[in-house]
Amino acid sequence: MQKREPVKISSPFMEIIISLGVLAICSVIVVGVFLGADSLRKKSTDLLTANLIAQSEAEYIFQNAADYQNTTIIKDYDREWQPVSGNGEFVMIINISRQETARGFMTTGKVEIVKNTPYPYLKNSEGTLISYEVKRYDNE
Amino acid sequence: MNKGAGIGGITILVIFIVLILAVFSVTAVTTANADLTLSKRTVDGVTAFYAADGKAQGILSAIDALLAENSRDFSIIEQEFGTNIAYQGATLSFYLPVTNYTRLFVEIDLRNQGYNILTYLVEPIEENINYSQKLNVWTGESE
Repeated sequence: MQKREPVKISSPFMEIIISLGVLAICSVIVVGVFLGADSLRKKSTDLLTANLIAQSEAEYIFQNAADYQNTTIIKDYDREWQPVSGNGEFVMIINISRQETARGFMTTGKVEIVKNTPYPYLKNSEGTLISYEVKRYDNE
Repeated sequence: MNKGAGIGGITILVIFIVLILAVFSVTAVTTANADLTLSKRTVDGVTAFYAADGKAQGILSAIDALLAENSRDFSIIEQEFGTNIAYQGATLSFYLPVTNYTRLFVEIDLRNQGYNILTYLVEPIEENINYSQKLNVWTGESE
């Protein structure tokens, strides 16, 4: 039985080529992971910013509740949370209803901030960022 | 001279670089995920506060409606909102849970044909906080 001679690859160039290939594949994976981490960080920052903006807007509206009857306020923001006139990346929707009670008024505001486009490398990351209902009773 | 492809300095260097990149990328994801979890908890806390706040505003509205009818039967409100209302003298108070560790305390004064809000604050629920886990810190006194 004839033994097959092991194929010997000459020179350290093969090692370099294999190493560079492995490095390239790993780099692509690692860059993907870093970009995913960056999207997570952006989502985290956006969540806190959305929360602050929604709270500020809601509290401002409730300070002047009598000026807002049953109405819907829509505000658009770009990715840096600067107000824009339309087609923003983030949209804040505030539905305000004011109902008369026995001795006063109950103002109810549903605050919602929606992200229109998904975060890169994060699946199903578009949609509602925050949503809550705020109520104020005033009897003056 | 022919040599087979083996583990040389370059392979070791690549393994080292890949390991470093992997460690940094995992650290980045873990940190970002922890930040996101913290942000979600913050939003959940605010949402819970507004839920309790809205309920408190509803109770105040109901109390005001009762006062308009010159009634002091607050049991109707207790049943409607599922909370205990303490009524002593001219002071009425109630608690509403916000989170596992906090609650909204509202205290109102029923004098003057209506009510005045005396206290409206979120306070810790001491029963749910285990203060027995104390950290022995140095108090500045030498032993």
